Amino acid sequence: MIFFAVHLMGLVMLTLLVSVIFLNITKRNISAVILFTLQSIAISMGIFAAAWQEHSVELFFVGIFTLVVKGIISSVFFRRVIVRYSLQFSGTTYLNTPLTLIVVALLVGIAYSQLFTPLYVALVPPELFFLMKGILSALFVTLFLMVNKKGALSQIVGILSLENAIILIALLLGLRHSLQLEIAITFDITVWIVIAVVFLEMLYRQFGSFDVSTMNNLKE
Amino acid sequence: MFLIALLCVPLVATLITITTKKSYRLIEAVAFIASVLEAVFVVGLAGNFVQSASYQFAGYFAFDALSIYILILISTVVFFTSWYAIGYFRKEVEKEIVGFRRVREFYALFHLCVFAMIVAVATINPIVFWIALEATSLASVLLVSFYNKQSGTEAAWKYLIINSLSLLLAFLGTVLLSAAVGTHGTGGIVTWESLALAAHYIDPMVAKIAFVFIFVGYGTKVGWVPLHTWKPDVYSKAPTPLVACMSSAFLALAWYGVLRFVLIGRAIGIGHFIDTSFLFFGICSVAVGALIMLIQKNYKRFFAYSSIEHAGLLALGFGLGNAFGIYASLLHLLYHTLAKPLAFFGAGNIFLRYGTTKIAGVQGLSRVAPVTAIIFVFACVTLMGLPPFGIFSSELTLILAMFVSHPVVGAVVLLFLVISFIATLRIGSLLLTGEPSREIAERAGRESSHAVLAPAVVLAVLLLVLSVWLPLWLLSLLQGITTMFS
Repeated sequence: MIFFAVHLMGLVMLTLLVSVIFLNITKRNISAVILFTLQSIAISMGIFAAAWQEHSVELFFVGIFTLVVKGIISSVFFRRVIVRYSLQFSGTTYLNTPLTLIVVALLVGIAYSQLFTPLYVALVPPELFFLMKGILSALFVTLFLMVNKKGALSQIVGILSLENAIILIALLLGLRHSLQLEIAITFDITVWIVIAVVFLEMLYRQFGSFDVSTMNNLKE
Repeated sequence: MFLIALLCVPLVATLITITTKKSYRLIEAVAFIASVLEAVFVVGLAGNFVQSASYQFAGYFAFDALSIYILILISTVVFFTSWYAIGYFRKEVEKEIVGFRRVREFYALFHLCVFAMIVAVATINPIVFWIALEATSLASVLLVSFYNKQSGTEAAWKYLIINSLSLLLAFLGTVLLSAAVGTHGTGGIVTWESLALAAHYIDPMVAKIAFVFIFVGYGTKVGWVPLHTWKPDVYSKAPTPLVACMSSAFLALAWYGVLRFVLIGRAIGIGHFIDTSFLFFGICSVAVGALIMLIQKNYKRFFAYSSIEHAGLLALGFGLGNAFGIYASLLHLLYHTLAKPLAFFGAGNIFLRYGTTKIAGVQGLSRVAPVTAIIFVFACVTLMGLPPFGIFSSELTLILAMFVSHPVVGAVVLLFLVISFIATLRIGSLLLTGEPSREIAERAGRESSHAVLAPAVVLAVLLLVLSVWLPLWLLSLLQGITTMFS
């Protein structure tokens, strides 16, 4: 199941995990976008490495798609929204920073505990356990990010980070699709990003902020 | 050929709609003709299927009894919704609630939704199914904020985030299951069939984890409690024709996704885990749906909770794990898919007349709009499960099946069905009786328009006919699906 250098994959996993942990504590929107961009570039590098190892042209294109859509297009879109509405800070959380860090530590601890060992045993060889543990940690921390953050932009970045974590799992498990299917998935993600940005702008125009906790028109 | 035509119709309809300038009649005609053609091509596909017992196309698409059944349900809903939307939007344009651009946007995105639904049902690939289901969410989310109001935008945002998150979890579940196919010599191409064939290689523990993600993912689209939170908000804020489609066709499609994975799960040998999960989601949904229906102050939200309750009943039927329950659940899907758009057509007509979705704001419906009142009562009586309507027979069969294998579950569900019965009776009496306001009373007896009544009346007749008589081909389709699962 080892298609490419484990060490490079470890670096990609580490970038993902560290970026989602910092996404939880950063208050600046621009920092969140930079972290997501770094994370997406790392994922693309992972895909390029896999493409090189497997001599797969299809995977190479998948890497390019990921880099263009997540590393470039989404970053440009998000930056434009931040600049247009001068939204430097809005990534506030329901829990304060120390509590957020405690929960993040607990989630990482759970992923690294014996609880999920049977899952790792069933999915990957022992030398890849540390990768699965790291990716699962990133997945849990991202889910927590979605719940804990009040900012709409952070929620969008959270969804895209979750997607990155799933891509990494698929890569690790050796799951490959046809190029057409990868193009369809990339197109789907691109449309999702465009719609999410459209909604970000709508939210700001109608509510005056990206803070989702200010939205309470649906209480009946 | 029928499939190519079926896929082309909504795409062509989208193109014509977005290139049309200022002609309401043209986009309405395109929507109606497209829905008729889609229904005709689905009948053609079903005919081909009945003749050869299977239908495959180009190695990417295939149909079995389950997909044909779901496609028939979807095309029926699309036909009636397209028809109803014509009259509904004419009224909204007349009242200057929306303009041409909005109406055009609705039809264009609606056609895209239809295209995505057809692809989702026709594909043999679970990843393509996932993409298509996501596409239905993306196309419909823009319509949830159709009226450009704060509450609509909030509902749309909630819908976008919750559904995207849940679908990603479903994707993760699919990835975990698909990994087994890629590594066990089935060529790496993941299809529903290859997943079932690779079932023996899939570790049951991994499969259970994957199924948790799949249940959470597609279960959110179905609207099971506790994954239902987006549903009442979206149903109360989105335009009625879209809600009619979401509450029936979208639900059937998401349920189809769950059932596809259930077939794989049974092959893996985790049938008991799946059945228990269905019973859990089913009981929670029936209980919460019925209880909140009882205290609901908004009639569109009321029907949203009714949808949640019925989604629970669908799960319970399959959770019983016997042919009796599965058959009852499939039958229930048919009747609910027809009854819920009817209920929303009634709700839409009430909204057009009263301009509010608050129950307190609607009084004396029987005097103000008698035909709408009859449609509304018809829908309520159907959803309550009274004879001779189909939901009576499907619910009765479900309850009997429960008492045979799970008597405690049967008793609990029966109790909540009684509560939902009382809740529906309550809302019916509140809306129909009372004294309408002076402004409303002045226009008493004058119905909205034939364009919003005709589709509802025809749908009601169809529902009544199917309640007392099911064609032989439909029965054999239902039996075929029951055999697949039992």
